[in-house]
Amino acid sequence: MESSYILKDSLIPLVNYLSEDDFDLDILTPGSHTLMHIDLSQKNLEIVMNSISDYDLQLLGSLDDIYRPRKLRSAIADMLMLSGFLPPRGIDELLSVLLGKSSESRELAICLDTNILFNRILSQYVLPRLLRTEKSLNILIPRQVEAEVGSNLSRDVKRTRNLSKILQALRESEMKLFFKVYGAGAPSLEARKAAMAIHELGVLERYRGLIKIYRSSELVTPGLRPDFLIVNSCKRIAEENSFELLILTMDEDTRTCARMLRCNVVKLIPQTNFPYLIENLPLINISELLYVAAMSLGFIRLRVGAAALELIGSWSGKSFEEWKQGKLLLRYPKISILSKHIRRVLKADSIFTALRMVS
Amino acid sequence: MWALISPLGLKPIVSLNVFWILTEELGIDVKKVVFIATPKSTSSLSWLPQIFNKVRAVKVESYNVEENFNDMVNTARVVLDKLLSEGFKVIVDVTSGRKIMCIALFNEAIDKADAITYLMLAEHAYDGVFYPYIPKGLTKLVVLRGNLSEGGSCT
Repeated sequence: MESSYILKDSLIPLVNYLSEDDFDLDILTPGSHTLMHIDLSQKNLEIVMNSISDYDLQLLGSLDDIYRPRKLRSAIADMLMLSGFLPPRGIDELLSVLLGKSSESRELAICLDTNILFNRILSQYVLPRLLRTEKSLNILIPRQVEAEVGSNLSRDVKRTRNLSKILQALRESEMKLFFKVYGAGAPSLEARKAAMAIHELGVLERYRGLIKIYRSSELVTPGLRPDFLIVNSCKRIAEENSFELLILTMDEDTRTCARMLRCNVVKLIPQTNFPYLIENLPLINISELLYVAAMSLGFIRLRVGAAALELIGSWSGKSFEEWKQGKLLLRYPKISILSKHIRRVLKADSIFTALRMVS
Repeated sequence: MWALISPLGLKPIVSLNVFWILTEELGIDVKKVVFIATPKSTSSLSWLPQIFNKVRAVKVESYNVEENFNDMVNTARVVLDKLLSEGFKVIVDVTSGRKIMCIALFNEAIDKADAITYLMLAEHAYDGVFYPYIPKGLTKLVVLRGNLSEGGSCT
């Protein structure tokens, strides 16, 4: 097997090129059961959802209990939401507020709760609509939210609570995280979602012409409720900048707190029911799904014809910059049917990286 | 032996996309690229040739023109005649650059170039996006005139 690092965005050329040959993709569990089947010619996604028994999981020395029957359904629903297929309830209300004509004379700013970053709500459901309208957006990110992202990584990945170190690393992008890739000590699902949240911050920063990010500067105060800190610090930034404030959350406590402090709030609720067959998928959503699956499950195997590719989302020694860029490790067999496509994907990836540097 | 003439617009990735399709997707052996730039679009010339050379080793030349039709027609004629005299088969792409520049170039190329191409894009959201990152089916290189016989057809 050969291996190369690629950026998350380079899954688009991968899917593009594989679809040229009308390949089917199977996302496999560690025991080679099919979890999802993607028909690239018809652009259909079928969720097969084979769970793995406790006995098999022990044999495989794997991973976490995401594959267990009870958890798999909610993990799949989560993945579909994270990759843009399953919008949470309340998203239409949010979009109508963001994209509709405002009667307020003040500019609108939305405060992001941690779970909004964890679930990639902005990049999956808001940014695509925003890009079409070319409306700009003010975003407030409380320090408490960044701290929660950091603490999820620190607790689960580094097994330390040294928050300041994690946050410093987050900004300076110097630290590498070491952990077991599989088995006990592997990053939990929450930690992997935190890693996706770091990438989400990176994506939002990339659209700085369209999205203006404000961060609160006050220190995290121990003893105070986090939801109170989040709402209160955003209220302060909004007042300083004369913004009309909207708190965006998926958490009931934060909503209650926002109402107590007389702030407008939209609460999004994840959907748990999903269709087992999704038809006519845009290719871009398929590449998002592959990224989310690789991150949520730690690694995935993709059956492509008779061959299998591995897409690894978390590996020991992955630096914060790599988490932020959404870097993935691609492992592939050196066989002719795939090598032409992989060669073009890797070339496109190197040029894409160079273009990002010059821009 | 092919040469590509590409007017340079404010989104130079469009020129890169045409070059990528010709060389990587259609397998056309482009040996030389000539950019025609206006004063507003010259800034990308500081980095664009390097990126082109990452796709494939190629000789890059550039010509600066003023924003008037006569200058553009004259430059298009000089560039085309020079490439033809050097023995190149010439592809003229009229996707990027000012409209007036594309018209001047098209006008000169219509009887001289081996192919005139235009890169269609179905969704504006992907304007300025590098070709392999545009979902398949949303963009297509159209041959307006002539053919690209060496490396296959453009469908």
